[in-house]
Amino acid sequence: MAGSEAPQHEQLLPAEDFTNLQRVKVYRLNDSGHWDDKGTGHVSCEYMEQSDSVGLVVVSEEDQQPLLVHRISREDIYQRQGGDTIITWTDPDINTDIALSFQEAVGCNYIWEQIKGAVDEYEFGSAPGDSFYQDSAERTGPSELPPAELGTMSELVKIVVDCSPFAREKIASLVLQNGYLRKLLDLFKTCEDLDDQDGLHMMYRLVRGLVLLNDAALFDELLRDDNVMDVVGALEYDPDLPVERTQHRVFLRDSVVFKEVVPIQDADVRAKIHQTYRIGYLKDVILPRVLDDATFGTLTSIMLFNNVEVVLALQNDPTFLKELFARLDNTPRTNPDWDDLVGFLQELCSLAKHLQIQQRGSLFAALVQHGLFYVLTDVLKTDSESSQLKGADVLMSTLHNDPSALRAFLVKQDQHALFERIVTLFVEGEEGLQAQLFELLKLMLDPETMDQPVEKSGFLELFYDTYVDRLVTSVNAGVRDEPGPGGGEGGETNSVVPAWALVKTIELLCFCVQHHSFRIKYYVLRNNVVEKVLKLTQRREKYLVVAAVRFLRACVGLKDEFYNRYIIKNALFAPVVKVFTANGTRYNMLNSAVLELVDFIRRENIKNLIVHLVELYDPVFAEVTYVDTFRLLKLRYQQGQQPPGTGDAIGEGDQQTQGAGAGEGEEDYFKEDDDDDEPGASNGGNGGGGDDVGFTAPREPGGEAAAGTSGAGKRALDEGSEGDGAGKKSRTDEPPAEGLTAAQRNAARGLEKVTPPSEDAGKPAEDPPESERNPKPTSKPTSSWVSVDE
Amino acid sequence: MSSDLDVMIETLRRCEVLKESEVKWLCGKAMEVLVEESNVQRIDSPVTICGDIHGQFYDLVELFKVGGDCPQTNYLFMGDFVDRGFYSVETFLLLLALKVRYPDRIYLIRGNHESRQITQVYGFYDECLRKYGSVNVWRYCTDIFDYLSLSALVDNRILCVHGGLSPTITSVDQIRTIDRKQEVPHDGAMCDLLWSGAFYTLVPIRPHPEDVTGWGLSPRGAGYLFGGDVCHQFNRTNGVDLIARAHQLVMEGYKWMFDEELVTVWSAPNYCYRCGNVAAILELDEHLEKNFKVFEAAPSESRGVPAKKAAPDYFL
Repeated sequence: MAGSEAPQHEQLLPAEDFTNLQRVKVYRLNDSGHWDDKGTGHVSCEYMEQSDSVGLVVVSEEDQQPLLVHRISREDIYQRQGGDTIITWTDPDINTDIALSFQEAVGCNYIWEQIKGAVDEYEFGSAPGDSFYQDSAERTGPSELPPAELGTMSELVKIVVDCSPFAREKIASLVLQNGYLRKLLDLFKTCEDLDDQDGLHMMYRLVRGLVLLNDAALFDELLRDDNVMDVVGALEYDPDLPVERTQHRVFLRDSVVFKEVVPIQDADVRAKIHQTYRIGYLKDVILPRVLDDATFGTLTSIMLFNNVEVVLALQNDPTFLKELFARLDNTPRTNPDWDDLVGFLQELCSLAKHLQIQQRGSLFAALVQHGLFYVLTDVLKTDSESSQLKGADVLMSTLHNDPSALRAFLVKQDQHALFERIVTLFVEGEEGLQAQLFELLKLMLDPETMDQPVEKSGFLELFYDTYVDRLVTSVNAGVRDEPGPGGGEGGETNSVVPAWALVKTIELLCFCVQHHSFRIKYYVLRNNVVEKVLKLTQRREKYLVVAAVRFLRACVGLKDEFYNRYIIKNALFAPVVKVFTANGTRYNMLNSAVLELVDFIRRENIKNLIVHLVELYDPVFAEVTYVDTFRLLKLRYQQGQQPPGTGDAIGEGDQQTQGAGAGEGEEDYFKEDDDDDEPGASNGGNGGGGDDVGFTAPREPGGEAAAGTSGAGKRALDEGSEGDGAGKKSRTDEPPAEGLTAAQRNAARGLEKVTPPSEDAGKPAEDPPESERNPKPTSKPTSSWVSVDE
Repeated sequence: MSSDLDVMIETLRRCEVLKESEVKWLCGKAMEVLVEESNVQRIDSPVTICGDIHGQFYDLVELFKVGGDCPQTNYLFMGDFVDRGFYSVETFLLLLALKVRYPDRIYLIRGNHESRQITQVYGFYDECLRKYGSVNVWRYCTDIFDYLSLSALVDNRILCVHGGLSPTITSVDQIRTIDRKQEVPHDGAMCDLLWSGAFYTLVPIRPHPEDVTGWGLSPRGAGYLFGGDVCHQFNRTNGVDLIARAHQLVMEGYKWMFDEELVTVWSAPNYCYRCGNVAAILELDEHLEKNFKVFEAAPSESRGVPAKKAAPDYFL
């Protein structure tokens, strides 16, 4: 169960759904008939002791203060509306309309059921006066349970299954007293001995009900070594399953193998490991359809805590890691045990993600000290793809912990064997492995995670001196794909670089262009890399052709005069225009990618590229009338040709700033070197980038993480948006909107309407770059609401 | 090749997983097909329009029973094939295999869950890891997500999109200049198409439904909410009668809004196996006459078949 990505997003996205299920906005109808937004919080249905009634309570997520306390009315005053996410009522106490707007329909259903349940209870209770209940036992649970005997089983099942949410704790504590649970489980064994089907079905309902009480202490007991098999056993007898019952116990006893690759001395630790596996089994295999979100969450967090405990215990064991690495060193690479040892390492590193930062840091430091990277060099040198994948996965884990440790090792290792292997497998490896190494290389090469200048220069120097060549060599080799004499698909030989491999290679080069300014620029210009990449437009595979176009787009996206002049001088648009023309009017991804490229140049008013494009390709472009793109481009061109003072004021202003930017960029080329690769200078996604003089990003207090100024936030963002080419870049580079900042959005609390900017495509000259008009700041595609705290 | 593909389709119809090498092959083929599709895919009627599926494989089988099998019936699926349900792998690969086999009979457009980021949180990532032991299949599939089309236009009259409209898009033609091969961005036109919603989800409608106009902030943190006036204006500008979209659970399976200028279609019955909703598909005949077919969760979904398999061994 490894894989390094998932937890990276825990800060970015809600860790689990259920935390958002009870997220609501509270509205109150004001005198003028509009809904006032009273704030956002979490709703729950609570027993309110003072009034002896059930109430809805919304606690503000901003300050944890109650936003709403509403005693559930005995009258059926509640209504649902709005696509099942809203509950409204007229509160009789204050004679006002209130509405709860849920983030998730599921959450709305849940609370709705609770309200209905409470209203029903009132009816059955039918007590007059202030007390809503006749029998308080129905709410808070009984004071004792019936004896654990077959005869009273149906009574007990009813108590457990039908109990109100407020009685759960009480019932759980009663089950835990005086060996009651053990008696129940013995009863189950009796039923099984007697093959009493009705009894067994009842036991199923009972145990399932006990699980759904969602009580931490009760879980502890249910999952204990001497109870768990009976618990699982009872859950085999689901009366609703028409087919033969699932043999969960047989699986857990006989099929599951606990691979103890290094003996674990501490019996408690071993017990925790087994327990964690069983909880996972219970949660994912036996009861996935049965568990409600709260219970699911409880089980998940028990597993998480267990994992952390286990990893810490192993880390603190003075001999364990030593023994692990001794075995890793001494086991022959062809022995299956070695693969298991690597598998163990992978799982250990994967679980380490849940540790606190310091603990995690010291674990990885210890692993590195024991020779982790040497082991991983060997792992990547094996021929087995599954081992290589595991190795790559461990490398990812170390990068997520601290990228500098790996970089330092890659630089100092004799012959750079690991670096060599990573790059070789990236260029030549299987598709899945290559994709994994693509992520790895991006993380390694990301200048935003490099804080020491030494690290930067040493590591990047090594990459640019030795390994970037390998990428370009692969691109060159990829150009030759003439099918053999046989022709057709069968004509391809193994020596041809597969298209998917080239796509990833180009994407990595795009990443370099976007994030490493002077080294890659120097390299691209000197080695004519754009031309080489664009030769791939001769390949048949259209997705590869599009990827090549996107590399040109990445270079253009920098709005750097050095790239622009290089592109113009070598007429590098020619192959793009050629494939665009050959594609005809077909509306496909190639068509869109080229239109987007041209549109970008026009929007950003990159003067010399506009001139170049129009003067060279106007006859071709004039033919394309199914979109406005080229007509607007030509319009921009014509505006640029007008002498100063006579042109359209706004269009001209644009050009002047652009011109100035170009001039400065030239000088900057040499000045830049010192602080190269800083997030801003490398155009890494903060605002408009270094050389984009014309457009200063407005400050955006609430949205900094999203805009990429804070390292961690930006990394998380990039991590999620892997695999994209230049198209993505244009968007992340867009200056944050002047419309609304995140803080303003939060202040607006969602009710107020945003007036979008008017789109006026007919007057391009008067438009500022479209990127500035986006009314919204960068925000993350989470399913959560916009966070209301800063 | 098509016979290999037919074997794969039969395997998937039984809710059995393909071999990793087969997934790789299938995704390679799918890439070749999808790269030729438009950002606004033109589709001719008759066609049956479906909303979110979310890995509920047995309910997808039920959907095909109710709506007719592919390729006998033409289909458009409006995204959110994966996450939350127990069979995202089988669900997405079946739809993808059908797409490769019958490219002009079935169309798939992208939903907000067809994203690397979202699938790492809501289940598809974990499912791939559990079923294949490595993230390879997840990578192949998420690479394919970047190639999925963004919207569809049926007979130039009905615009279909997963989420909704964007304030930066006034004309359907503007969608053409998006380079869609990217992870779903955090804002901008492409993000909005996949994330936006119609207004009713946030603000209580009654007692003043007429107030629900213009653009609003989305409670989901991405995309916008839009009102009836926005929808009406868009439809008029583009000569479109109707916007069909998915993205939001509606208990009745479908829901008309804005004077029948927008419809939400939801095709995952008993969503998350516990929401208690019914599902619907929208059949459009050759005259664009609309017929909704409502269906409930497949009974076999809750029967015998273990939803998830456990890894047979563990280290920790």
